[in-house]
Amino acid sequence: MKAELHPAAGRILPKRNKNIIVLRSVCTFLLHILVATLSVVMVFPFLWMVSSSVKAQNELFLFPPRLIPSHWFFSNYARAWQAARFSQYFGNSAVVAVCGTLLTLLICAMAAYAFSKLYFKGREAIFWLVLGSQMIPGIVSLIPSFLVVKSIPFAGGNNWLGQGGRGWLNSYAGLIIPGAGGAFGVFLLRQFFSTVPDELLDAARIDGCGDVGIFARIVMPLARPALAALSIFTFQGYWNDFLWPLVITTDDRYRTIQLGLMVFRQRFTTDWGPLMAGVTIATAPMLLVFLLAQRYFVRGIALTGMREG
Amino acid sequence: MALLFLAPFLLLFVVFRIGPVLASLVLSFTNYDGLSRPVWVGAANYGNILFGSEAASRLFWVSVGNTLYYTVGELALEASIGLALALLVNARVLRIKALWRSFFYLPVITSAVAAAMIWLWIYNSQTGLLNLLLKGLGLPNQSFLGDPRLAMPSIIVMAVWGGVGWTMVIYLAGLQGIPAGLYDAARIDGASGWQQFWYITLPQLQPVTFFVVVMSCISNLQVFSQMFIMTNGGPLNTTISVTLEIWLNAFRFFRFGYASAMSFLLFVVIFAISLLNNRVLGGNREG
Repeated sequence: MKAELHPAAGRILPKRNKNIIVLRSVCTFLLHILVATLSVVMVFPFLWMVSSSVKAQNELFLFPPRLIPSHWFFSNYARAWQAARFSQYFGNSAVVAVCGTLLTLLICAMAAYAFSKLYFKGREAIFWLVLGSQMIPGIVSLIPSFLVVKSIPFAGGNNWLGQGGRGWLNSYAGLIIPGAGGAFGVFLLRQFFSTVPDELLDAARIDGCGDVGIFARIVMPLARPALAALSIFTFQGYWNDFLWPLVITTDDRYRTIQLGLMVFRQRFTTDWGPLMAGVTIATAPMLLVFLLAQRYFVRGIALTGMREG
Repeated sequence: MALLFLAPFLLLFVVFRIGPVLASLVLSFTNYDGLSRPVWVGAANYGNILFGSEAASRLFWVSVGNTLYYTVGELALEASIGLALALLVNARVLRIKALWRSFFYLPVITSAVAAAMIWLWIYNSQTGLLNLLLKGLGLPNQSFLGDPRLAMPSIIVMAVWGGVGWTMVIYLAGLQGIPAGLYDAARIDGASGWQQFWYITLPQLQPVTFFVVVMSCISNLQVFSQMFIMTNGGPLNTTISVTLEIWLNAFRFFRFGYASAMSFLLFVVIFAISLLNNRVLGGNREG
């Protein structure tokens, strides 16, 4: 592993070096054992979650514990799905995550187009301000954002001054819109749009294409890989978010799946089978997205250094 | 034309990003319960938080201590284990690298709530997996989340599990950026594997390490969901975090001014760390 050897070395070199090659294969083998063991440790909580979700109540408390249940008890899933509006929570999360992702892509792409392909006064200054805003931790905007969402004029029974009603509290708009304009997305897409040659846009302009046409028909289709990476992170952000939905929803009709899990826990305090079934259902969409698009995940993280709270 | 493309973003940016910073600064100088008119109280909130003798101020300092404990403990473990995993996965002779990398990364995409639920079950004081293991080894039962000495370490272990995949990916990118020529030259000079790690890998990874430390600091200092779900700050306030304190004051006791002052203090600390990051990395975001 450490010393480089010529590939042909094993054939022509004397016996002592053959021993080194044997030693190296043993090392390689041990390395694989070590990495596999660590992988099992990392994945085991998920296996345990799935295993517990298909166990009957009495088998959950069995000693010694078994990973593969003796009797597969799928009714935990039915109980989880029917109980406490779980299907509603799941549907809400799906609506919020999908709409939020589409809206974020559109808003960030439009801004990124302006920052990379249009010229206006103060462009660089505004862009640096946007970049700098990434240093603002989410917690400082939590309380004012809540107050703003509560006082959106003409929404949820509010008057034009934003008083009297509940604004966007307990609404899809409140869950989706405040998070839809991330500086991170603008930065990521601007980097990508900058690589689209200006000549291409000029040619389209000569053919009579306006900015809207250029944006929709040339820049957006070309930026598909960057849009894919951004949509994955955005979807993950919306699906996994906890603090914001916790703060602005009190009504079960608008609660997302992460809040639903919490409600669940209060309801099934010691009933770990249905609870783990619920957690499995809540985790499955992200796992699916990850399996389908993992190269975007890893490349995107390495490229941008994004860190989930 | 440019304004048309920028307008939606700028509107959200001003209302939900820049505006709130100023708004929370203004709010922090008032008493506001969300219903009646805010009352200007000057710096009284800051005075009460930092130097007050009442229980609330003591609790704030307890939460600061807990948050620092969590931040440093989680960070040290996550950075060192993440580096070790990156070195293992980066080893030239390792096969099916993408598969191992995915396994280590899997917990990162799991939500904090789902992770907390899974670990609540694993840590369960009667029949959790860990207590079954202890029983198998003939060791006494532990109340991982109910024992004041064990609660925070237990949360840290869970957080390391959840975050180490991210650190690994960042370190992997860093490792691949080290010129191979450095190692060739070292081998010709007869450097051992350990010496190569100590004198080439680690110094070359220094900017990456700095980046990892800063990013983890920023997210760890805002830790909330784990404590909220698993322990709700207990036992005996040993896991109450600053963000949990802010949430409690704002949305349980409706002391928006007082909570804003706390969040602004946290903001100043995090902003200073970010500035330090930009200064050292020279605005280079590539880690």
